[in-house]
Amino acid sequence: MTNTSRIFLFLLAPLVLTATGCVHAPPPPMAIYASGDHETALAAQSQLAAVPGIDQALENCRLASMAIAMGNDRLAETALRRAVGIMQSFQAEGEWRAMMGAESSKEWKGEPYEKLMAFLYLGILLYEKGDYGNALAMFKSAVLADTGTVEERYRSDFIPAFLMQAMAYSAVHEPPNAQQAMTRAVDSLYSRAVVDMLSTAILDIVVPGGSPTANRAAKAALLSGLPAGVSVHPREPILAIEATLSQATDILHLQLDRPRRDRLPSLRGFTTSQLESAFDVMEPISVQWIARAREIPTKALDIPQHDVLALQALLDDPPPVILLVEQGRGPHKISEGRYDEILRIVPSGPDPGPPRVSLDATPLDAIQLDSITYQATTRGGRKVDAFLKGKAVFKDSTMITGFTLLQLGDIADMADADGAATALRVAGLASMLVSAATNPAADTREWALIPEGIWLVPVRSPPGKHHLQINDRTYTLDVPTRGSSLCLIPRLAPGGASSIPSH
Amino acid sequence: MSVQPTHHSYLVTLPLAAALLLPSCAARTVQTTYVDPDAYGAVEGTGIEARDVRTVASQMASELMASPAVSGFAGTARIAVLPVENRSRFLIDQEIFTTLITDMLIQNAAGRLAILNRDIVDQIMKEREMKRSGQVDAGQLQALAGADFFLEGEVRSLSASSAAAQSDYVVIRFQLTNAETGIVVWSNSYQMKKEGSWGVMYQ
Repeated sequence: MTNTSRIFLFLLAPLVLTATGCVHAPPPPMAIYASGDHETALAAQSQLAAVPGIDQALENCRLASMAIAMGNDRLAETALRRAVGIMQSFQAEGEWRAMMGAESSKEWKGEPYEKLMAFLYLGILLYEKGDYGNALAMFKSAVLADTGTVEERYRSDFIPAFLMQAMAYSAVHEPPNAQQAMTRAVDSLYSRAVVDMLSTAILDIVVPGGSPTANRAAKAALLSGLPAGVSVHPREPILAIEATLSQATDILHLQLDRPRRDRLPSLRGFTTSQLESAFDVMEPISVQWIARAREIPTKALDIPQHDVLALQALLDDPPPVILLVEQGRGPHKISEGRYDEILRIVPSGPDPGPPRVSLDATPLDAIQLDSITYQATTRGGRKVDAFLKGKAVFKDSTMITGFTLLQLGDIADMADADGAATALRVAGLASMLVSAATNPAADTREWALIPEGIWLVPVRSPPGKHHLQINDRTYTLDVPTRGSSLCLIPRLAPGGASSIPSH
Repeated sequence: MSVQPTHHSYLVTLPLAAALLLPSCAARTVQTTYVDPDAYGAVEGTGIEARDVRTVASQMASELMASPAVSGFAGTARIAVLPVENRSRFLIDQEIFTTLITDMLIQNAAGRLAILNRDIVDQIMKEREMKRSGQVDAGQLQALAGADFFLEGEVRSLSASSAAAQSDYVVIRFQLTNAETGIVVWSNSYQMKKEGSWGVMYQ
């Protein structure tokens, strides 16, 4: 065997070992679960979830989803307790590693929408077993996970967490706190409707005195301030616009103090002078906006009013059974950009619409409490996104620098400056190595088993056994003679215990 | 001078490559270490940690024993330690809290206190729940009569959060209530405020 062959074998050996070691790796538990072999998948996922490492919280979240779907609440609670412990800790493995390498080399703690789902699930499990104090703690944590955006102007509007807070407070006999939490849930319902209504109303408003760009920039700023403005007056569209103008003015001032790449995504497309010109037209636009809002019939808020009554009744006249029904597949993370450095959270598919629910063949109303995609996509950007973009620029610039230094080394070589040539080449290679080692890719690890929508179905039926149909699944619903029971109907097959409530 | 590879090089090549690659495929081992329960742990947030529970239980027990309500009580005071109620945003193990408090009280009691057992406490809790939900009135409560005092505790927190940091103000409050009169004869609050910030990769 020649030297070349031996060197070839040396280089090939790692590849062969890699292939033999990893190609035969078993399919991931989620794939096994999707194939219908739930027990095997659960066992495999349990093993993954027990191994400490950067993905432990994620693996436990996945395990919890499977366990809930299989009606194994005890296992789900254990898994979620582990995940929540990691999510709430400020310590993190691999944070420094992720500064240079891929973001996914850091310990997974989830994006805010994943955190709030973990808190919500654990809270519901604890509530179902009567541990109302700890359940309440988790609903509060879910609300907190939904605050604190880039602009810090966003007020939590995760309706299921407020609703469950109200119910938990009610269960521990604290009616004022229960009502306060319910008011926040109701305000959030109105906020959604008012934001939708006003976002549409502003679209074709143009102030003649301002340039088209100034108009566009002003409307983008006003829309950025709209959620905060509406949160001040969730049920009063006119007052909400006035508050929005104030919020938008503040936001614009803040944005102008920042480099363009660090501005809000909706304002990044404008130059500094274009944003400055927006100040001149924001107030006239608001005047027209208010005039438009006055023309909107009050009936537009009728749908929230209908849902509000159903929510309030949970406290005033609790139904014997409350179903929380999951519908559709939750948001999906993708990466974009030359180096996959841009994280985007997108819907997994078209809106699945409401679940079809019937009791003894009579259809029941389902009220949408929230869309997880809405929660995931209405929070603005992350600070780490700007960091990843910086890394992408750094990767390019170190590569160019390295290449330039190598070229300069060649020139120095031709000029017989051997020492300088060597130094330039070494520096050039080092720069290229740093470039090669820099990985700006965004972290797309995701808890893909969470739902798109959470729907509320109050069941007011006589005590006893009933035939419950939710989409294509059937359950036996045992309506209690007294008290009120809560049950989560997971979207994943088999959809929880076939008998509700499970005993 | 050139170096000629020998057959021994294969013996080096393959194990070397295996040593480099196999760890990435193999399962990680789980290691356990013992740490001081009062030490800062590797996994911490701004919540209530083991050392907080131990410190509060210890302080509370010694202060309660020094209170006139207990020190001036004629005979041995029978105390029912009720589960600590959680109104914070953190998961709390009520059992750990109650057990530690009970242990600390017994250690400090010197014969002046008797702690009622779990069965009686459970019965008291049931009766309280029935009273709160209006199923019985005060006159029907039986188990309450077995205690001179109830020791109740609750944890509340005020929390704030931004993209970069979190802050939690936690108040753990205890009160001793005369079982017969319903009068609160002693109370004290233990407060802590914790702040934590996320690294740039988590903002």
